[in-house]
Parts: sequence; C-alpha cells; structure tokens
Amino acid sequence: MCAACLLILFIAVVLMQGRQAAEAEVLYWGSSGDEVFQVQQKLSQWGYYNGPLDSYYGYETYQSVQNFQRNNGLPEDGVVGGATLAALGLSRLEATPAVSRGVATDRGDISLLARVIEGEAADEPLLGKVAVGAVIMNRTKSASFPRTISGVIFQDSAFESISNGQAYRPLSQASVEAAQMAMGGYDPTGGAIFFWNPYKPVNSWIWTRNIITQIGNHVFAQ
Amino acid sequence: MRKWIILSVVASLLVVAATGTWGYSQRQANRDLENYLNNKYQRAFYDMTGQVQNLEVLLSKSMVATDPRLDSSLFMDIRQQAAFAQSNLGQLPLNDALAGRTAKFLTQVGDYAGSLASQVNKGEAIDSQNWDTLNSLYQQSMELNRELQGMQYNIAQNNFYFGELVRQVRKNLQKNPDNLAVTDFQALDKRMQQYPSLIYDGPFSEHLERTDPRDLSGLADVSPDEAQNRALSYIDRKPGVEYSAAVTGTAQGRIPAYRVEVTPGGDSADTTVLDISKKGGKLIWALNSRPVTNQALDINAARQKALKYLKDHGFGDMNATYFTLHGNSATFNFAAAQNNIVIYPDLVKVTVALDNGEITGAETSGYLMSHRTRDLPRAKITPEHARGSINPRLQVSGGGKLVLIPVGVDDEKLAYEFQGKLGEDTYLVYINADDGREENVLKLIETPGGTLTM
Repeated sequence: MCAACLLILFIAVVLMQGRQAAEAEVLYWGSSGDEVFQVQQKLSQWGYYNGPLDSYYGYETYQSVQNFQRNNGLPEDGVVGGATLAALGLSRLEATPAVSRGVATDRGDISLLARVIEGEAADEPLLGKVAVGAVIMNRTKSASFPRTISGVIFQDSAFESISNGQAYRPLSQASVEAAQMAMGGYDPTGGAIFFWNPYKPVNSWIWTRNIITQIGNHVFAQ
Repeated sequence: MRKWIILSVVASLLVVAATGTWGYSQRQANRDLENYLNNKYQRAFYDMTGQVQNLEVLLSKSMVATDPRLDSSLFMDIRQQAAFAQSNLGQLPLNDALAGRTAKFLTQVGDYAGSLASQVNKGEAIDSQNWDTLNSLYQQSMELNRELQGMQYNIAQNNFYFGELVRQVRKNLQKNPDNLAVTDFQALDKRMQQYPSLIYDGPFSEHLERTDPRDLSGLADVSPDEAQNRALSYIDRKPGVEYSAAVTGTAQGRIPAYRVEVTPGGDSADTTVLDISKKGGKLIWALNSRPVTNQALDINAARQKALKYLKDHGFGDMNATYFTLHGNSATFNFAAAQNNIVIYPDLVKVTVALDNGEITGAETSGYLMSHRTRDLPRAKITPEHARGSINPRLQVSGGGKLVLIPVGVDDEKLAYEFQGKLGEDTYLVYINADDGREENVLKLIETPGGTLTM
C-alpha cells in the first residue's frame, strides 16, 4: 500500500512544479527576465552586486537591492518598484527594441556571445575569454562561415557547449565584459577562426590548421 | 503474511506499469523529435538544391546578357540566391570540415555578383576578365549541382539519411567514416576544393586581405630581450613599483609577435599580457585581467588619460570617435588624422580602468596594418556641392568635414561626412569629395553603454 502511495505522491510532486510567472513592473525574489538583468547590471556596475548576471532575482540580488535601498534612504523591502528603479536610473525598464538593424550588433548579440564564452571558457582568465569571443567575431568576417553572430554560434556542431547545453548556465560578469571587448575589436588571437583544447581528444582534422598561438588552455588557429 | 505478498506484488506491478508508460512516451517523443528535425533538414537541403540550380541558370544568363539594366538585376538575383543557399547550407548538420569549401564558394559567388552589380551601376562595362571569372563560377556551379542531384537521390532512398549524418558528425569523425551521408558531403567538399581560388575584388576574398602591416614596413626585427623592454615601455607603470617582463611564447597571426607577460612587484593577479611585433617591436595588443571594482573617474578624465597614453607612445594626432562602457572600464576608439582629415582606417583602441585611471588594455592592429603618411588627394567639389547630393528628406544637422573612409578591402576614398536625422533615427552620410557620389550611409544604433563622440 505504502509503496503505491509513495509513487503517487512522487508523481504529484513532479506535476506540481509549475512555472513561475515573471512580473513585468515590480521585481522581487523569484522574478526573472531581461528587467532583472538590467537591475543586476546597474547594481554590479555600482559595486553593490557581485553575483552572476543571470537574469534571476535570487538571494544575492535581494541582498544587494536591500543594501542599495539602505544607502539611498529608501524603504528596505528588497523589492524593486518605482522609487528604487528611479534611484537606479532605470525610470522605465527598457524593453529590447525590435527594429531591423542590418549587420549592426545589439545587446542580444552581446549576451549570445557571452553565453558561448561562458560555455567554452568559463575557467579561463579574461584574456582567454576575450580570445574565444574574438574567434566568433572573426568567423563572421570569414567567407567559410555565416555572417551573423547567431549564425556562427548556432551552426551545427560548431560549439560543443551549445550542442550539449553547457552554454545555458548563468552568465558571469567576466563573460559579459569579454563579449563586449571582443565585439569592440579586441583580438588577442591575431585573426584565428578555430580554437580547441589540446588536452582533450579532438577531430584529427583540426590539427591540420595553421596554429597561431596558445592562450590559457586553448590553441588558436587559422 | 499473504496480505503483504499481494500488496508488494501490486506495488511492483504499478511500478513496472508506470515505468513502461513513461518509457514508451519518451520513445514516442524522441521519435517525433527526430522526425521533426529530419524534416527540417530535408527542407533545408531541397531548398538549397533549388537555389543552386537557380544560380547555375542565372550565371549562364549573365554570360549572354548585354543590357546593363538586365545585367544589374541578374547580378542582384545571383547574390540573393547565393545568400539563401548559404543560409540553408548552414542549417544542415555539417561541420566546417564537411562544408567549409562549399560555403566559401557560395560566399564568393554572392560577393562577386555584388561587386559586378555595383560596377554595372556605375556605368562600367563587364570586361573579358570579368566574363572569364563568371564562366569559371558557372562551371563550378554546374559541378556543385551535379553532386547535389546525386545526393538528392540517396536522400530519397534513405529516410534516416540526416539522422545518420548527425550521429557521424557528432562523433567528430574520429575514425574514417563508412557512412554514406558523410562520404557524400566529403566528396562534395573535395570537389569544390579542386578548383583554384578566385581572384576578385569582393569584400570577403581572403587572399586579398592585406598581409603586410604597412606601419611596420622597413623596420628591423627585434630580439626577445628587446621585446621585453618594449613591453615594459607600453605598460602604464605605477611609480615606485618594480616590474618584471618575460617572453612566454610567440604568435603567428596576421602580425608575427612575441608574447610578453609583465608583472608588477610579483603580484601575478595584476599581470598584463602583450603581443609585441617581431618586426619593429611595436605593441599589437595589451590586456590586464585584474578586476576593476568601482568607478571613481568620469569619462572625460578617462579620455584624457587615454589620449596622453597615445601621445606618450608616438601615435601623433589622434581623434576620439567612440567609446563603450563595460563593467567599470571604458574603451575608447581613436582614429588617426592627417592635415585635419580623419583617417578612419587607422584605428586604435585604449581601455581605461575607471577606478584609478590606469590603462588596462590597448589594441592597435588596425593602425599597424594600414597606417602610413598618405598622399591625400585634393577635394574637387565644395562641401556645399556635396551637401546637395544628400537625400533632401534627411535633416542635415552637421558635418561637412573631410574624412578618409575605407572602401572594400584595400581602397580608400576622400569623402565629406554629414550627420543627419530622419524621424528619430540618426544617419552618417559620406559623399565622395571627388565626384559627389554617395559612397556610404551609416545608421547610428544607440546601444546601452556605447556613445559616439565625433
């Protein structure tokens, strides 16, 4: 009897894990989405927040919001409403504008680039992260690859971390920064369009490419 | 006792039934997904085959058409079909080893057609050299077509063609593939390889990419020891701290370089990594990875620091054009100037930490590749005349400055730069100072953290 009970209970628990609705205007513990990202970015730029820019309002975000409110004479409720937003300089939360934009890049591309950097080079120093970002930027300029950042990143089996979902981890500030620098033109790889970890088994074909340099745990090649 | 036996039998039956149902639904979902993906792949493949057929037909037509208007529209069609075909190729489960050459061929056809279209639009005729290139592209497209038709047959015969392809590609081709699908694409890519590379003036032709850094031409090679000294001189050193430099490797990129690491007072967290060119011993890039904690400096003070850094390191007259904020650092873009004319191809970037104003990064490869004292042509038309060439709907708010802009891979044009607004959007318009033609129109896109300062 009890075994059956347990089974039913187990199924019920699984089914009850519903989705959390994201709130648009007021942000609090449990909120998620682009608005939270903007708040986290501001707080982190101003030194209140040291956690990952993961667009999720968790404990660390809550604490840093409270600290911010204390320092700015706001009620310390840990909820980001109108007054706190205004104090953060985000009087109106900016939705990502949907306009056509040729080959221009926007924040969507930066966070996409940052994802791959996080997935492929989370343990590398900033230089190694910028280098991985630069490879993606170089690919968009190469005739053998798609011309857009999303095209390069989602090309089939181009990046292991996209194929196996590793890239969908919370973003760190360092990866976002590396993505911005790579997009701004920093290229420590000298024009590389391939990189791999020489200590892991890889397709032997890739060793036929012209190796330019090694940065951290990655080899970069043309 | 019997009650317990019955109960446990019932319980285990329930468990078995639940697991079975779960497994079956998983299998079903898995198969649905595989079918769905397979259909997507098939659609992409058939679309691509159709577009390559169109390419072949259009290329052959362009070889016989003579009217410039017809030529121009044919070239635009070729360009479009090539772009579609390439985007469909990108959807197929192929990696660069399997499809790189084919992708490159499609890019080249598209770029070449685009450059011919603008040539025709300028009133220049298609010469015999253009015609020969078109002919060779036509031959290649026929070859590609033939291979694709063969593959189409194999795909029609085998429902799991793309499923097998995915599994083989995921295995990273570690052993020699025995699988039909992979060998098909390998053969196709080899076929594309047999043809010699094209020489043309398109924007993406790799072999035309400059390989010789102009700013370094005529300079002597430096030794590793000298490179270390040069690296130290490029560091924004704090007074009273002992810095140590060591060459840790080399880089064989566009500009061959020594890799140097510079550490202040044994503090390895504050290490700066630099590439110093073997020829001439100049800085290619430098990057310090220390965390920048909080902002104490405003943007103007930071820009002054960056300008002083450039001045101290022999960069002459530089104009700030743009900056981006990232974290607590700011990166400034500078363009060189000659006789008050902004030289946009000669770009340098400098990153300043906003906590203490230290220079934590610099990037000069654009400058090294293209900088030289240029023989600047004189403007043949006046700024007023140039202004007349701008679309009257654009509200011109400023500009009229002479600038040198890059055109294509290796060409530069003297132009007047105007800034204007249409509705909410800001545009930069470049009018050729020689013939009054509109060379380029750029649209300004406001990004959080990025600001144009020209």
